[in-house]
Amino acid sequence: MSQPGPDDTDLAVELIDVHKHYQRLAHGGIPRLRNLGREGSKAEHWVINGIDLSIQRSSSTGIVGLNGAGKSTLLRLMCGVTTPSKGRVICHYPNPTLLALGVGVPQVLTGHEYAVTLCMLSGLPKDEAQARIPEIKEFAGIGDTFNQPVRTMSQGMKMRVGFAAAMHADAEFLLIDEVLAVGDKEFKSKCILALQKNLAAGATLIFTSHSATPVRQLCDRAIWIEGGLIKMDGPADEVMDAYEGIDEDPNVLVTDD
Amino acid sequence: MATDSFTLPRSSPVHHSRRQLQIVWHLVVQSFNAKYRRASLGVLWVWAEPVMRMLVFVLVFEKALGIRTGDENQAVYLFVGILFVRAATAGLNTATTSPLSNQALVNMAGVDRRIFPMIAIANSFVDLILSIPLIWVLLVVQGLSIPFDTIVLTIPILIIQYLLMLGAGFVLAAANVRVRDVNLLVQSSTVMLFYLSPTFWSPETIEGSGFEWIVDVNPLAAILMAQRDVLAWGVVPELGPLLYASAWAIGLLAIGLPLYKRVSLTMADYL
Repeated sequence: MSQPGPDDTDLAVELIDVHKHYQRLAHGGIPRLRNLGREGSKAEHWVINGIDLSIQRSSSTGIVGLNGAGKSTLLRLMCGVTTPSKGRVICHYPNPTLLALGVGVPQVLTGHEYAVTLCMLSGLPKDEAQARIPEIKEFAGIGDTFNQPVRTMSQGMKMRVGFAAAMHADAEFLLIDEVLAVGDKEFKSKCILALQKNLAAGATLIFTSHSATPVRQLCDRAIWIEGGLIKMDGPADEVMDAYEGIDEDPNVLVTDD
Repeated sequence: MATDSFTLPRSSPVHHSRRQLQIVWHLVVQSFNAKYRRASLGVLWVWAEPVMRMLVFVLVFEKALGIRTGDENQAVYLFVGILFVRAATAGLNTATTSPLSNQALVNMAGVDRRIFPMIAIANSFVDLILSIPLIWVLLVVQGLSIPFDTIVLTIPILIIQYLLMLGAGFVLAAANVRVRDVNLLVQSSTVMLFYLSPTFWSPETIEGSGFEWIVDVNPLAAILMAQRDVLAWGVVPELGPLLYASAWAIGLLAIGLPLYKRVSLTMADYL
């Protein structure tokens, strides 16, 4: 799992002066012919405002910040789900794996098919992916629901299947967006153990969290994002001490953007 | 936005293509299974739907209205037409919306987004290929012989049709990501394509009408006539119209691939 990629560097991902904006359509998001080309018909919402960052291979990094700070966008940029509006992202792994709560799951697939698909997208050949299904099913711990269509599963069950597949797909570069927040206590402990095992095998882990515990448990480094910029970057304990201080400040208004 | 704003390590094109083809095939099989597993007739719907369409055309056009295709073996003529034009129109419609209908995969890392139109067109071709034996059943029922000598020629013609649909699919899917009217436009246009192609009428019936160009400019018409030749009549098709269709396929791919690739960089932001 820990073999260097084709470009033989000790970096997992590099972000060089990365900016990202989304287009917000005026007029309720409904484009009309009469509005085309008119001033103000589109507005740019800047989410990432100039980030320079390098993440080492075989390291574990936690990204924290209030809602709307840009954490999820940062992860999506790192694995190429979206691209920067300005700047450059260089990912040194050919098959990054992103696990995110907001990410949909193909509803027509069964849990079994979904797990095979995820393993294949992480770089496993199909026969190898099929061979790992018993372990994945056991890890997910949802019984026979594993063979039912994904649309019949709860959000937590879908997350369990996705997480179980990622843990058994030899994923070298794992990006996890808030996923650890939804499982029950027992499953969370199982996930932390599995992540520690993957890290020991040489994987690179980057995850976002609102909870300090997994960041302190798993990460050597933490990055605090605010307003699309890095507010603090350093050893996990130091950053989390500072972040928890602001998080507990009753004057801080936590909003969903 | 620069197209090199995100870079991944380059793997060999052969390795990358093999892996992507494996993923495409896996998703095509899954999509086929998912489509038919909840239907009580299951995979029989692959055959039931074109047969029902053919019966409607035979009953309404031939028996009720007395309209002839201009060909002696009307049922076979209709059936081949319906199968191939249906595959083209279904493929174009699903390819156009393929990034939207695969939003879950668009939001996953490591997915080469070119596979969505490829899968959409391939899905329609799976139904088409599974239906081809019905042409021969129909030939036998009509007392005609199965053209074993020319059947193999269907493969290169299918490849030309796939590439033609794929090129158009890339263009339409790229456009539909930004402008959702494209999907509605394609739905209307494919209905026109069905009626303007020689699906249930023969090109001979419009000779001298001044509308021969409808067949001449339509690359799908060239493919359709060639497939009738090799699968039903046992005739080697003319090369000229097939070269014309191939030129369309190459042209559409040359435009569609780079356009789709560019749009796919920020596709997740628009879905």
